[in-house]
Amino acid sequence: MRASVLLIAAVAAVVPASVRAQSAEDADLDLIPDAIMAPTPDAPAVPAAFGGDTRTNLYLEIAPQAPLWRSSAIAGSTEQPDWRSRASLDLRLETRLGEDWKATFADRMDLVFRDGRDPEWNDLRNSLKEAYLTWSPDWSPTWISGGHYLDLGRVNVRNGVAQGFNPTDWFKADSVIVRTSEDPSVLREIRLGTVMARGQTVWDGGSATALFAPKLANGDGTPNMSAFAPGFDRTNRQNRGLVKTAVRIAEDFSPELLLFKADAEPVQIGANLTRGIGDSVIAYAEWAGGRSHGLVERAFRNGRRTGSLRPSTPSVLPVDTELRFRSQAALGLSWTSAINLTVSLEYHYNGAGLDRGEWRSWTDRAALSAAAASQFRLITGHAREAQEPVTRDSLFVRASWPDAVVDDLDLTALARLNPYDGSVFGQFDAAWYLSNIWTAGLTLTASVGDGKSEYGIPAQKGSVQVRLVRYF
Amino acid sequence: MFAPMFHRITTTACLLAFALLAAPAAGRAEPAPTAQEVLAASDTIRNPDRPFSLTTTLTEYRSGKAADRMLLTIYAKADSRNGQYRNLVRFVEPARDLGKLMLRDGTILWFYDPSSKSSVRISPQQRLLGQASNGDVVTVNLSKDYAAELAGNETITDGDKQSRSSLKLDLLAVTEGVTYHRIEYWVDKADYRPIKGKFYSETDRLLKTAYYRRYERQLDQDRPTETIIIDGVDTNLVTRMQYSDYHYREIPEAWFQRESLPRFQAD
Repeated sequence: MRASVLLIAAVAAVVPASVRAQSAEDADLDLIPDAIMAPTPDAPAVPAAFGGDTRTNLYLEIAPQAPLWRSSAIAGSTEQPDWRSRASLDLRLETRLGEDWKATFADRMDLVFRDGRDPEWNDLRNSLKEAYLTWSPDWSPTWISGGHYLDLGRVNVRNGVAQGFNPTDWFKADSVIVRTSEDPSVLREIRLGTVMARGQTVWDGGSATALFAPKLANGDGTPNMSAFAPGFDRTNRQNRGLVKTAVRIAEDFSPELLLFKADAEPVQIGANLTRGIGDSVIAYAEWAGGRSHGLVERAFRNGRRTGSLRPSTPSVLPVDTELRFRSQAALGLSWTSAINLTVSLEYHYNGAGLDRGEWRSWTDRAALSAAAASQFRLITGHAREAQEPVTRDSLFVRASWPDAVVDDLDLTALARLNPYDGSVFGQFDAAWYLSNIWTAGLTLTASVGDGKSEYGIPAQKGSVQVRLVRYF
Repeated sequence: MFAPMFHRITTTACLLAFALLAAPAAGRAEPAPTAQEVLAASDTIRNPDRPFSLTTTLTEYRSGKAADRMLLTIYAKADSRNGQYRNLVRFVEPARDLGKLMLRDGTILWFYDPSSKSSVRISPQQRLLGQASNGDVVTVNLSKDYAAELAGNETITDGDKQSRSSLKLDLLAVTEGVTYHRIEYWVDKADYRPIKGKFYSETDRLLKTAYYRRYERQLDQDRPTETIIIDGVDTNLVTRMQYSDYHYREIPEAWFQRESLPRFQAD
């Protein structure tokens, strides 16, 4: 034994180090599949339409869902179907029309079935998400290496760098017709754009945008819920304008500044900023501020406008009706681990929302009186449609893990936490890419909290949904 | 070529003249090039010295069998401020990812989804779409981010199973925020063609092994048209990147910022 060890040592001493290294290095080649090492390379197959003038994204999604219910005094009596199912057809089309013109069209149809207890339910909803023309003349002066763009039509303008709440996304309110998920990234995909004229100039190191969205519908009464209603009463019920610019000031410092004005409302200002920290962390901040009404006052005004609240009905609790400066903000950190699991944690501040004392007063009162419960639902419903937190402080966490555990399986989980009452809403989603054109998915939701908490109040305490998606 | 692409490859500096001068021909009077100069010359082989675009086909192999495939177009242009390449990557296949874009400007990365019209800032470590993403798909000019030392002469077998006399370089990161802390890098002793790279994390864990192979004449020079990436953690995972459709092209500076992503139009 001892002799053999000495022999090995002697051989090792004689064999040149480079040869030993070579054999070790060449072992890596054994890890390469034979199919790759075949002498004739496979010619990369490039589709015929590659780089063409038209780009089409089309998919069909089938998604049956089983909701889980609980009794809730504050939520009141709601229809509680045992199951519902949705079929969605989503089309996005971009095509170039000559040298300087481009057309964009995005439409979605949702067909919703339930277990048939409500014949009044209108099952078909069409969302005309985008339809606009872009003109980009080629007359840039030499100091601009980018371009100029003019858009006309319905455009989905999305501002903001945060994930769970976007204070500078002033065009988000009332824009979702069929809420298929609570994941903000999904809601952004299915929402309606706004009819507008928008101009943008992009240059090396910055850009500037100005847009005007005209009033096309008066918005009084409840929104038109007919199947093919264009939804202008959701997106264009007042004149609105936005100016924004982003300029690179230093390395990794390109703040975006925004100025927004709506009919008869004070100017709002906003800012967005992101910053990388090391190789795996992104910090981001989004802020908007300006004189505005509080959330409760806005909810009551909206209720009276749409007819869901009688004009003569007083609030059961005192309401802050003052028009004063309020801020909204989202501060976040996003961290990616070595296994590619990304976790984003955000703190949300809504200066228009209910503070801890107001929140407790409203939930206490809503538990005691049907009238208060009705007004409470008006407030929370308004916050949901406006896509903003109902309370002054809240937390949001989102985790995503592509190729998790096994190949082609993406896992996503998100949670919203109300720090005043400790209630939590959670959603878990698994997407399994069966092939390049088929995807299967599972979505679970759960709302946890006591009967007087934000996420303990809704009658639906959870859901199980499966889905199958075919891409064309 | 994009293997270290997979580690951020690329190039830059116009070292063509240097590459000629530095070729280690026997009997030449010039002093031997330094390791850093060898690395710079090697960079120019992987990456053209002018803005360019190409098509990349990524095929992922799991335990020897082809699994996923992606098709991308990559637009690359060196930053005049630091010589480092910036990349705009457009996803063509699979269908569910058509039209998505990824922008990389140094350690600043943005991912754009035309469906939601949203641009999301991501970290260099984050890989949103399989093996194609981020640091893995983007070129990097190694000589700009790493200090090179000559570790010795070695004869190794290249990705085409040919025996090569090589120079082994040890690279240590000198730029903050790079994905790989150190790299073992083999280049052909005769012409500095990259042959192989092994890429390590800050904790000295092997993350990837790359082979550069199938050299062909592209954009005025013999360049690797294929990179094979072996995952350092899961060695059953191998990615093949095939490059085609090389073109020199004008790429406006304004493309390399978040605000341009919604305006991108493929030609």
